[in-house]
Amino acid sequence: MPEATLVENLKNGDKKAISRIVEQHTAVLLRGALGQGWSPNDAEDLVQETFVTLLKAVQRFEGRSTVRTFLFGILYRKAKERGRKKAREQATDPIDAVFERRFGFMGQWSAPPKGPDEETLGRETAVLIGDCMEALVPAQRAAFHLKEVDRQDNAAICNILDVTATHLRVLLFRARNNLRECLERKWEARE
Amino acid sequence: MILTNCKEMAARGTRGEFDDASWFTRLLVRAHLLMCRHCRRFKAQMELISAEARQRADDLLEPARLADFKRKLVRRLGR
Repeated sequence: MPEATLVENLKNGDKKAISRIVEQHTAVLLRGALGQGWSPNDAEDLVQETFVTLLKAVQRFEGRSTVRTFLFGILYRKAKERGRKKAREQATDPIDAVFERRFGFMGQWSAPPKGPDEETLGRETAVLIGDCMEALVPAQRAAFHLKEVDRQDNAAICNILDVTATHLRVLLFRARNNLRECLERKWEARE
Repeated sequence: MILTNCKEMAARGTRGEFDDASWFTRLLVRAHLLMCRHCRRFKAQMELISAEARQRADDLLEPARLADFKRKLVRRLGR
């Protein structure tokens, strides 16, 4: 069923359309909320609130974005409201200085990356990455999740997180380098 | 733009600037990677992090709980 038809049916309160939208989007939304570090119960609450908000707002939905992007936008706004008391995104991040120190004045590696190389990359990383993800600030985590896990395009991510393309690149730079630095420390500790 | 050094490779790569780069830029990236084992390692580690993050996200979803939650959602939203 084309998305426009599905939205029209939702506007008319069609129960089959509700079932379909729940079937299509619940897993990705839940994965997004869990990926942000919410507990399973909180993640389910957030996803439920997201669908409730969609149904309230569907009359105003004009199809300028996809339903999925629209839902993710609601989810991340709700998550932000809940997490408002937590640390806010800082204008600077210590990773910027850490990254700078990796290179000499000609831009060559002065402290090359340590840890496994492409021939020995192992599955053990899966165990370690959870802690490193949790250490990321929410905005970096959200950007990384949408880009790498959900593989959404940059325009959709900017729309969902309400950030500019330049800010998104900063968030991705910090998220990826924070994760790699964190993993490198863990790899080294294991040696 | 010519990729002159490792720092630029790592910075632009992690900002995602090579995702939709021109064929010429991609050629320069490939050439740099052929010559630089540190950048190859850096890139491989970044790819591993993405792959493991995807795997971890899938592992967090419990199929039985998800199916139950979907049923509850449809009931609640359909009222």
